[in-house]
Amino acid sequence: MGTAQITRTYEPSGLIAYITHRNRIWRKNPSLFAGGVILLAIFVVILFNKQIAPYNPIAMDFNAALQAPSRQHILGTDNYGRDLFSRIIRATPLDLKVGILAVLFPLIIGVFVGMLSGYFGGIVDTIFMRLVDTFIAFPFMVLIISVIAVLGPGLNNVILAVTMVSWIIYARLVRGEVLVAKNLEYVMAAKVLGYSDLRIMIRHILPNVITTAIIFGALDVALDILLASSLGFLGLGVQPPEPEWGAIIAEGRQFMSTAWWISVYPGIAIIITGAGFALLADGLADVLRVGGKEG
Amino acid sequence: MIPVALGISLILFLLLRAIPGDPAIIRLGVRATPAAVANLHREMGLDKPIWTQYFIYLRDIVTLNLGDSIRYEVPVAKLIGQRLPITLFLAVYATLLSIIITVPMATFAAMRKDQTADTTIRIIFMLVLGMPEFWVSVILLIVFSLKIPIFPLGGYGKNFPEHIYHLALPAFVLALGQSAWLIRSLRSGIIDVLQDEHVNFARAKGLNDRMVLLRHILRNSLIPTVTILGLNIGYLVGGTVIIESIFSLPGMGSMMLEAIFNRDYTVVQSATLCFAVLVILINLLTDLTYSILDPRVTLG
Amino acid sequence: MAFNLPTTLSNSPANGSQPELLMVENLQVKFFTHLSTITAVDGVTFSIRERETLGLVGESGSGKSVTCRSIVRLIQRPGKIVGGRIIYNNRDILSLSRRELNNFRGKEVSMIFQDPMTALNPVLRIRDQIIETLEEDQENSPQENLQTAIKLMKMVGIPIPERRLTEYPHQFSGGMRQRVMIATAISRQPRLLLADEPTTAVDVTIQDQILKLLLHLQHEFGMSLLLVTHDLGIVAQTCDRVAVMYAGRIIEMTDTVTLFKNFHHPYTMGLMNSIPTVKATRHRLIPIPGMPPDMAKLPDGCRFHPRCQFATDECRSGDIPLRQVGNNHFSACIKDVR
Repeated sequence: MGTAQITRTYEPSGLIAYITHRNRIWRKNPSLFAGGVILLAIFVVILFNKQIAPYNPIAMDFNAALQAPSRQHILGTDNYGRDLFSRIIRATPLDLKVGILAVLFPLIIGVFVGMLSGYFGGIVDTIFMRLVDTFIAFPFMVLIISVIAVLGPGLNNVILAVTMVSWIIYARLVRGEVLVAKNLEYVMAAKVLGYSDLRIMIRHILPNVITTAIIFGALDVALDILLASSLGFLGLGVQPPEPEWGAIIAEGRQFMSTAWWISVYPGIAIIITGAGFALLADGLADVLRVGGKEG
Repeated sequence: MIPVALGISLILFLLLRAIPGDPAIIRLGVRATPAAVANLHREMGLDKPIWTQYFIYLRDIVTLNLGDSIRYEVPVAKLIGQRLPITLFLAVYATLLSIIITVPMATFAAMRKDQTADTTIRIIFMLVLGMPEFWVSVILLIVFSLKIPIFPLGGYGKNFPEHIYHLALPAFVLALGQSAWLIRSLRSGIIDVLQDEHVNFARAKGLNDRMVLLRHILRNSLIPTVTILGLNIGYLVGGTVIIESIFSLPGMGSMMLEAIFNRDYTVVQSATLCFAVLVILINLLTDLTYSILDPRVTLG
Repeated sequence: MAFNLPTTLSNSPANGSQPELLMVENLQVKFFTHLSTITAVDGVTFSIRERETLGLVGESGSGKSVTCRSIVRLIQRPGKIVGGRIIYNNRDILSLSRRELNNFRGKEVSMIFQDPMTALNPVLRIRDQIIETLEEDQENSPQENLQTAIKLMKMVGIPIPERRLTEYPHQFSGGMRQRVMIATAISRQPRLLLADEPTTAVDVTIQDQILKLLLHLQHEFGMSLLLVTHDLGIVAQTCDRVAVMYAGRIIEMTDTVTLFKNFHHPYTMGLMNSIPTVKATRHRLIPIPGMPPDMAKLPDGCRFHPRCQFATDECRSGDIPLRQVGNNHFSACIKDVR
């Protein structure tokens, strides 16, 4: 009885209301729900990494080399006898770290530059747009690879290289949004009232602009995880013996004819993670954009 | 156009300058005498101020004097001459394949909007979008080269039919990724055009269904997709780097990768330049195609 | 458009002796959305005789356009023709195969649309749009087809046709585009032309020219014409007979002279009162009170009764069918506003 009373008086608000309200979230926004579930699972994997992985992912056991998936090794073993499932689990935080940091840093820089460029315009904006034209002339992958060629391979350098190249995409995105937000009536009103540029930018323009950047960022995490694993595959990312999805797939190439599982399973991990972020982006777009329009 | 070209050259110049270590020592080895190093510095123009070095670099690009490969000790221009055709072949092949995949799939889906067929196609290609190209390549190699040996594991072949045969898998992988984007664009394009009155008028005047589809629906809905195609070919070209290395194709991408591992920086730099020029040319081609497809647009 | 009394009726008189070319019987068209099902056309019956001009009049949403499109089977999902027959020359149009349909459309019945900007394909040359169906027929050489196109362009009054044929729709003015569309529609010499609001999207100054052109071509080719419009002024100028539609049904149908002089239905009266006239500018226009009904929630009884000043209990409960009220005069009203 008591609980019934509580549930009746309890008035959830904001995001919690959105999730717990009678309008079931998976019916109203299936993308957000599915993406959320996948990402929650991934979060659990990262948090309980050691507990979930049944074996030491870098301990070699030549007696167990190249074993097909079995009850002992559910996804089989690689040529050093390392348990593939444990390696994929262990690689999860690494790949996620690249994916998230390689979005976070460019996002921050991009929002900063894009706001300045879009808000003040003028010579800064002109130079910035020239820079954009220049950067988009390079195939993204090629530019990343040549930056890594200079920096040297490695996890941190991958993050650095992606940051150096992709902040400009965020800046361009934010700049476009600022140009729109600048002409919104309440921003004009704030200007007329004599608020400082800094205040207008932070209080009135940033909230408008950041939504688009975050939605794009969520999708970009998926793309960056693809990129990071590609670089790992090419040997330009995480260095052995640390496991990384792309690198594991690359290792498996030598054994394609005898041990297909080494290359196949890490790819599925990449696809699931990517799908999680892509769905999240899709769902966020629904929530934030529609909410923004109604509000 | 010119500012972009200057910007590209500047980025590449800075990239080369940012490489740790003295290029003269890289070339001569760590045991070189200081006199020899100083001599090579003079020869390479490294003793001059940085602006002068940039202008020398610009002049070299314009005259296609791209320097020598440190590793192979042949002019980089010659290396590119050998490698570029393969990459171009692969890129064009993949683009054509992606169109062959996209047009029927998108048409089929759009005509059955929100029905099972449409949803299935959309889900499949959404999954494709999240698949790493190198992984798809490995899967295809396992299935179609090892388990059911239809296609070769790699190589390029000697003549045109062999090229087509050898490059089928790599081109398909690139095309698949590309199609995932194109189908989204073309499908919504077709759905938009289907609402247009001119399609009704074409039907009302008695045009048969095939011609209505080709001339009045596809022709019009291809226009926005061409832009997406142009933008994505840059992405496709980037993808050749990985694909060429997986399928052992002696193209620009694999050359660039080898050069990175060999610390052959002149080759890395020139390959990057070459890719950038390629993308710019593709963008020009896209604009041109766009203006041909849409008479309302005139080239500015 | 100035309203003229029907003394300037079109040159072909309403002639009862002409055989019927097209018969629409009890046509029903529904639109299925996931929220509701809307019956856009609910049991419409009428016929068009050879060389006759029939006006189909009503407000937007009355189902007149849907009726018109049904005749060339241009109803697409979520719409569907669910009942009735459309008989053309003793053939049921609704049972034609795809191939037969292509020979029916354009050759027997053709159609012109409201907005010539959207009805012409913006990326194809005018020449190609006019002759593509002729090319499909493969009856004449390309050279002959081109000559036909030039002839058609001259016929609809487009100067220097040889040059203009190579141009694109955006290079034409609104009125010229409408002429191009007419030329395209009649290129295979149809016996019936459907005109869906042909003058609504063009300038007022051009409207008259387009109507005259249509009547001229009708005379020249001996076509029948179905003119869909919301403008009674146009009806007065051009039509032999008129069918007035309201909420998916025909509520009054008779010859033009009778309709204007001796209308029977209160809705027709309302339409008449809301026409600006040249002679009576002093009078205020009287709009019909209320709004057309929500097609998803139609009122019981006569669909016009919520807006009707003469409505009685009988109008509110029973369905009021179309019935004969005079010689060739039909009305769906139990009252008589005369």
